[in-house]
Amino acid sequence: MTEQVAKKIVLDAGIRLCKEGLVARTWGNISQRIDDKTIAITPSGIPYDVLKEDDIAILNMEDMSWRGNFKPSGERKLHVAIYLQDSNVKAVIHTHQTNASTCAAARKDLVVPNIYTDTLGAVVKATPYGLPGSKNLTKGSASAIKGGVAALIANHGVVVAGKNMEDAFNIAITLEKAAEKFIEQKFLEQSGEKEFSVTKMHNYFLQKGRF
Amino acid sequence: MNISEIKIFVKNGTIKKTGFIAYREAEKFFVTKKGANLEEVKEEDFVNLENSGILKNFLLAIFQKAKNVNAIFFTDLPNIFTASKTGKPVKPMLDDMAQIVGISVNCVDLKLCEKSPKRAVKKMNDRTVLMIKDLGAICVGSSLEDATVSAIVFDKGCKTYIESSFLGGGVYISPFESWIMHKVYQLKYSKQAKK
Repeated sequence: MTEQVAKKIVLDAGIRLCKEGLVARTWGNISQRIDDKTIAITPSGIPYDVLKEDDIAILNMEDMSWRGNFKPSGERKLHVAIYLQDSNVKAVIHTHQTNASTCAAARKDLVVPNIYTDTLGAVVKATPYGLPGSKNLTKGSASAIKGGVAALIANHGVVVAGKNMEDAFNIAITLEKAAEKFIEQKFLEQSGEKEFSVTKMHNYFLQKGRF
Repeated sequence: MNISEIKIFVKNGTIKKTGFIAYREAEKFFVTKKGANLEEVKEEDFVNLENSGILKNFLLAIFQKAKNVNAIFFTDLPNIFTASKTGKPVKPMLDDMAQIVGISVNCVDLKLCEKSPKRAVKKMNDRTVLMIKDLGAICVGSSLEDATVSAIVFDKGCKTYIESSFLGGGVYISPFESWIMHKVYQLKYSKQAKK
């Protein structure tokens, strides 16, 4: 794959990420493998709606040097760790999507509802806590995603790895649905309600003083 | 104030359509008239804040205390609304809330804002949001867009606070780390804004 093609894939993915509601503003980051040594990755702190193809950084995974108009994402080490441990991974997306982030805040593995296991596997692991951009966050996330396609990053968000960008998107979207379903199931189990609604969940939360 | 921008934020539910918007321009303060429908807001719906009754002293106290605050509005996004009913502060379980909103968001009675505006502003501290008991929250920012970002991120923080209780409870980020994240974000953001 050429650098220009990879940059376009990353740029298009950034716009789609906002449209799908998986990130807002400059949050989250995306990368695409070019070859064994290089990836194209979103820059740090530039909103997706003003990003141009040439703003996408090219990062050398061997020495972490980069080329581009802007510094690559602060989570670049996380992306590189995932590419280096699995050569089948061609695209990585890190998002702050709301339902999966809620599970990530509980720091518990997500038991994937049956209808989503084809895409996500039986469990999406949660990482131990680490500050954004830290070694702990990088190591924990790479370890949690190993052998799977997604990880919940404690108190932060999620990371997904795909065999191409479309696959990575599908995983991120499916993970969001699975997390939503998982939360709904937990509410129904605890409340004894037969049907889910946000209003019922909020009322139960307030009535039971779960705060 | 960009009227079409306001309409977008009202339409998507971030700003309450029967609430208010206040802004600073050249050290003058303006607020929407009582009863203005923000979905259809017009230039003439804004009046001088000093002549208005809507939380006048409270809004003035915010503008006077925080020189970087240029926009204030009221939100009742669903998760914020529910969290405001608890009357308790909401602390961050997600780092984006720690970065953008601050260490924790307090909740005060509307009466406090009306009767003791300076005390209510003190409760806000350097956060970008203050919950109003049973009603929602006041959001502030250096621009209207900034204030809406705080509202959206805080609503997500409240969603996590509510829903993680069904997962055995979320884990709070330590106050010290939250404080560091907030300060680093403010520094980084102010540098970017200067560029």
